[in-house]
Amino acid sequence: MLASLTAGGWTFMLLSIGAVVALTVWCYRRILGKPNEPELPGGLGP
Amino acid sequence: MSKPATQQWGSRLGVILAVAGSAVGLGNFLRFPGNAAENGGGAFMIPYFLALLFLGIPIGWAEWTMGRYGGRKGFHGAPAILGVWCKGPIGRYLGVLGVLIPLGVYFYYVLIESWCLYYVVQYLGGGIGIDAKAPIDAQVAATRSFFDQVTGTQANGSLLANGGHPIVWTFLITAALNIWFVFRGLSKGIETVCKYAMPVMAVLGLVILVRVLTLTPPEGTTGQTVADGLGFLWNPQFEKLTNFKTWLAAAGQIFFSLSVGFGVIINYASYMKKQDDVVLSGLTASATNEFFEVALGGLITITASVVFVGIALTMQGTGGSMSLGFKTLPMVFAQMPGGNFFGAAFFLILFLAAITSSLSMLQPTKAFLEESLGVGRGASTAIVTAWGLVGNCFVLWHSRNLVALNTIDFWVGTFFILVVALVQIVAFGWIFGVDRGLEQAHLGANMRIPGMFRTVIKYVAPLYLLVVLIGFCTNNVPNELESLFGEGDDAADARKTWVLLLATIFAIAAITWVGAKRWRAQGLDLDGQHPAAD
Repeated sequence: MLASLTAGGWTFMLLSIGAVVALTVWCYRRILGKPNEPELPGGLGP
Repeated sequence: MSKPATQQWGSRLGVILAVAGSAVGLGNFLRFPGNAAENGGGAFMIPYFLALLFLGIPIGWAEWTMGRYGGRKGFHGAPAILGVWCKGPIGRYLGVLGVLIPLGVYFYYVLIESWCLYYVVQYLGGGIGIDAKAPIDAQVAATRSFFDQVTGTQANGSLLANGGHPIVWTFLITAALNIWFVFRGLSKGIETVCKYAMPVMAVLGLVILVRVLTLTPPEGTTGQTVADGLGFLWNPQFEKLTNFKTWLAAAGQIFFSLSVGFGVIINYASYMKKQDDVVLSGLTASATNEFFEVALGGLITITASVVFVGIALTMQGTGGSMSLGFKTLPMVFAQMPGGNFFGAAFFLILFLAAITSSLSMLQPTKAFLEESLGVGRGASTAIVTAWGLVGNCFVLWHSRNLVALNTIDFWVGTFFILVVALVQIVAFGWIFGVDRGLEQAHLGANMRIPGMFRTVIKYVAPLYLLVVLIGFCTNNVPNELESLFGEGDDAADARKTWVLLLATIFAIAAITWVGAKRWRAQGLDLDGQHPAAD
């Protein structure tokens, strides 16, 4: 625990951060790629 | 079937950022790194991601779907929506907890939020009075003394004595901001705040991250480099994976971080339209929370702490969010070049994370009051303001050793969340039916939920949650009950807090009863006997 960042530490850090960043980017690309639906009159849902 | 006119989200991104804003809180920056460092470092990420996959994401999808379906039937509060999904009054009255949780957590959360704002103001005004050249013991004492004064841990009522501590003003400003934004409504209030606050938090977080990763340790120190800080958090200790507590901590971290079972997502999703996507939206909100937690929280706090105060002092701070954030990091900022700027920026991130969460806590109660009592926005805001202030003032006054805050946090902010989530996943997977539930989830969905999640939602998630609940109770409830029924001032304060909680539960249940009579009279399908109208 007191050692500097080991190969295992690098691996877990890069994989974990890479995974959440990739998931976030993938989600927002899909979300922002879809235009908003036009609002229904009167602010009511179906 | 008649439907009352209701509010609506302004955009799809708005609801995602609002849910993500609700989820991203102090725990992302303070609790996660401490939890990971204590429970196996990098190896902690194995149970952590498994819990995300098998617990957090599926329960989140269920909650988004339940909320949207309830909204189509004209309901926005947890009691009514759980009544629909559980097909009767048992679910409806268990849903009382879905109003209690956000309201009860709001009772103390606004105070923590006001601490963050107070620290921002102090750093902008020149710091909190820690002499970086003093011996480390003196710095520790100064930091803790400052925190004790701000929180009033010495005695009940100490924050209001002698004309009142300035934190009282910060609290009033924070409470007023919350009330104002909630009064403005979903789109103009909560959504607008989250649309600005979330990107600002991300940018500030990245600025601080760059600074932290380029830090150099003070002269004459060893084992305090950035690599040492990262190693302290990320080096895997696989032996910890054989300890049940590691798995429990990982599940708890995921669970409480994502705000599932909190009564907020179910309310927010109830304002969505039938063809609005909930699957990709739910996943995106979860992903956003994970970005703040792992990519920012996992790199900033512990690393900066190790560089400036070393591993020993950092370890003292990992015991809880409060300790790391309010007692350890101020010493770091005192020693860091430009520390006042970075201290202000860091506590501003915490404040923004906290206010986007606390805004979400008032909205479910407000919606519940409107639909149960038939009152308008002004009246519901007035009632929820008064109710919130009663709770805030109770916690503000009973500040000794933070007993009131900790009691509400344990029972309402932790235990009841597990209960509500279990009710939700059982209602979705077993009472309503997992196939019907997934069919509802896929209406208007931009992605399909992978087939394996049918089994996960029906079997794995409820069992996983049950194990977590039992483990949590076994590890924590006996001690909590002992301190509740023990002797002394702290036990007395804990019992008084329970009186407040019981009164709140009783009031919500009574309002639910009144609401049920109204909904029946209006011909609403409060027992979920019919499919939602198209």
